[in-house]
Amino acid sequence: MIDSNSSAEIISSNQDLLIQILIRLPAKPLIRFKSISKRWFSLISCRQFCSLHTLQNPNKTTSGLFLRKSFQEFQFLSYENSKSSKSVPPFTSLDFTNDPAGIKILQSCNGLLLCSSLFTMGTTRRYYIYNPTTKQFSTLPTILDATSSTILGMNLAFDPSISFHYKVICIRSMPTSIYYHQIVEYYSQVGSWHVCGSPFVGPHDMVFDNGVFWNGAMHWIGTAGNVMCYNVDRQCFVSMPKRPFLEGRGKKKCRYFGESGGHLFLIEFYGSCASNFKVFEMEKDSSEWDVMCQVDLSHVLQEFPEMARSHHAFVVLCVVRGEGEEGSPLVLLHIPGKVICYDLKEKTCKKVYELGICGNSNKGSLQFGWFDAYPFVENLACV
Amino acid sequence: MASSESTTTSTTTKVLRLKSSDNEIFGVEEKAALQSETIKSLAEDGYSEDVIPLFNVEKKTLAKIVEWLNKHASGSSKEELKRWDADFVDVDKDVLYDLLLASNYLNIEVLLHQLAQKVADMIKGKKPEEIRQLFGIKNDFTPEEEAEIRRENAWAFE
Repeated sequence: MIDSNSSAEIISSNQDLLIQILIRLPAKPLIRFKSISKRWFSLISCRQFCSLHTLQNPNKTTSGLFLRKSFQEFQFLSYENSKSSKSVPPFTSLDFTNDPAGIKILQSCNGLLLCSSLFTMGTTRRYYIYNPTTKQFSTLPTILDATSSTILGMNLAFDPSISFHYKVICIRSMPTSIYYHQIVEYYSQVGSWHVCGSPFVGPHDMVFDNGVFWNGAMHWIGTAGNVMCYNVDRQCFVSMPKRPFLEGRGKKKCRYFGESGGHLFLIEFYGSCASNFKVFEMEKDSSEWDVMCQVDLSHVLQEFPEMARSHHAFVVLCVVRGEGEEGSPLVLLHIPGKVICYDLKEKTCKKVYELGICGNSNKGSLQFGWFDAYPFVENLACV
Repeated sequence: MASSESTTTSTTTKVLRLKSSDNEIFGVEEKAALQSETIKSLAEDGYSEDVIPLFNVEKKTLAKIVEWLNKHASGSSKEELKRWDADFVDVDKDVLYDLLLASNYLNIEVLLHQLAQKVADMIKGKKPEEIRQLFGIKNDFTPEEEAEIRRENAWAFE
């Protein structure tokens, strides 16, 4: 026993061996193990270790969702603890920085959150990169010529399976003409902004907020059906099929556009009839939108009569798909007081999360809106 | 053709003699033994004709290591090795620690990674107090400092 104890002690006092073991642990136990001793704390917090860990464990699995209650307040939905909403959230309010204007989340990308300060007259917005796992954040430097042009969209590109560095892609209007756009990129590796390529004219319907980073490229969708795709490595736009054309009356509305497990998904609704919708998936080579699934929620409506109270008594929070081909894709639907996990292959409700009644919200109304869900991915990526 | 074949045979069947810290001698085919970078450099330094002394490895551990070296030089299929390795690392924690230290000293990278993975799997669900006890680590935080880390990262302590 004394002998074995000393073997264990030799291992833990040997920095190289300890790193060999710790590098193989997921992020969550490592955060917990920071409390073991000062030595473990500084080892697990060290930039070099975190970068190496991120590369060797390129985790892209979503372990929960941050659901926006207000700009700064969030409810956390953990995929691990079904039934109960009792699990301790990584955060409930965005108070990592004391920005006087308050801040909001713009995008979640493979474990990192891109945040910005709220608009206040006479000041330029500040942008932040926040890792909710490590609670580290960094403030991006002010963009070049910030006062003379309008920022149309800020988007985060981070893929731990390729690099532990990230880029922020900013689309802004040219100082000389609002019809011309320009891309300015921030590289975390060097910590500065760079103008990329020549000015371009974007499609009239394009919205450069809510970009989705998938397959090494940033994707934006326009209100009239245009899709833009910017290859982040090659720093150029590549062609992409328009949003799928659907027969139907009423206004077409994109209700979900996001990435999961290496797949790009799009959900569109027509008008107010919403119990039927299609989930589209982009082909790997970006050639075509395929109908991955035709969803008919009429039997779900029977099971959860609270959904039928109004036209859109539910909200699509996100589509979840594991890595690889196995495992059914799921869609998370928010209905009053609950989140339903709907299996797209088996066409059944897999799980129901009770949200609990929070604050002053009415029992019969929805607590969260469209585009209010931000995936939580645990990794140690440095900001 | 015949002569080249016989040369191959004679090199692959060369046996190195490894001596544990408690003076037990193990004969291991050179091809198997050279998976250890440490043995390789000792052999290159001229120990190969004689006994190679491994001062940091006891016989009970060295016997297991020799078993691993032989298996991994036997030309088994990938699937079979995978199964065999899973069994091999499925040992008591004390044996596991000794094997980890030995594989580190002997510089057998593949085995070191397998064992480190096994230790990682073993500790990943544990509480910080259990890890301290397991590795004989002294908690050098003040109660306030520790409470602060726990409070800040409460989600990871569930």
